[in-house]
Amino acid sequence: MSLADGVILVLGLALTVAAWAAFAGRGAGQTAVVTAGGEVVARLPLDRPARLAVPGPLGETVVEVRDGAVRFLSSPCTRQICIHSGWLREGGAFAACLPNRVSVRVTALDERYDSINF
Amino acid sequence: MTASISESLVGASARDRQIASLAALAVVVHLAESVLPSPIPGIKPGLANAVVLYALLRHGWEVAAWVGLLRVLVGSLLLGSFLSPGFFLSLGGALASLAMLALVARLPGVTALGLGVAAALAHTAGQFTVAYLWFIPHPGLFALLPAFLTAALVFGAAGGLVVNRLCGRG
Repeated sequence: MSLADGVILVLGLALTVAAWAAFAGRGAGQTAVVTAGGEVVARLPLDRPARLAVPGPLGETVVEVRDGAVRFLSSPCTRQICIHSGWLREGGAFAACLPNRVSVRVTALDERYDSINF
Repeated sequence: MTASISESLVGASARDRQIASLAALAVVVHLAESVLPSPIPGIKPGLANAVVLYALLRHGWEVAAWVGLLRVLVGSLLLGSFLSPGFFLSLGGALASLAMLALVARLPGVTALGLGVAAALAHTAGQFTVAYLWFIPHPGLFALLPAFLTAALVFGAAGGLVVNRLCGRG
């Protein structure tokens, strides 16, 4: 291995590491947008654990962010459909508690398309 | 005897025959590789590029360019992928890696190891450029880039080491 080889290897390695740092995990959801009664009440980054109590007509709905995903933790509604939606992590994922008028939507970096099929 | 006959019939020079035999070798490696399963579609060892490296070191860039481009053309004709998206991705990668080789081969003291790594990374970059500009103009495409670059780094170095061994620079 010559000096020139070494330089190329180091540059190539740096490029690859930079690509991992810049692009790995991209395309996953970035932010959870929480709305109540049609108004945006919070934008929660998914990489930071958080718990948010959102007031609605029935009482408080609690939204939890953990491990890059968001979910409804508790809600005063009767059917608990929002709770059963489970964790949302992909860009565009959506869940709502209609009785309490609270919804959560995960926004990705780029949302020009609703879906892509190959 | 046969050489002189073929020369007089089709005007093939010694250099033409070198190109033809190396290109044939590259095509065979390309075909053999195309039936190997891959964990991620599109990631291949790229051993045919080792033949291009060998051509570059032994016969110069021009022969390497012939071998690389003939490999893409003939390989796609035999696999039935001529003018398909895969063909254009392959062509984009080959053109980018040949351009990179033209630059990097000027570095003093560079061996097949460095050439292989630079060519493989350029190949991946060329493929992604074609894929992004033409087929999938979506930033999500670049989520694949780290894995592809890592594979290029590893396989480019491996191919380069093989060629170094072949050229007696172990």
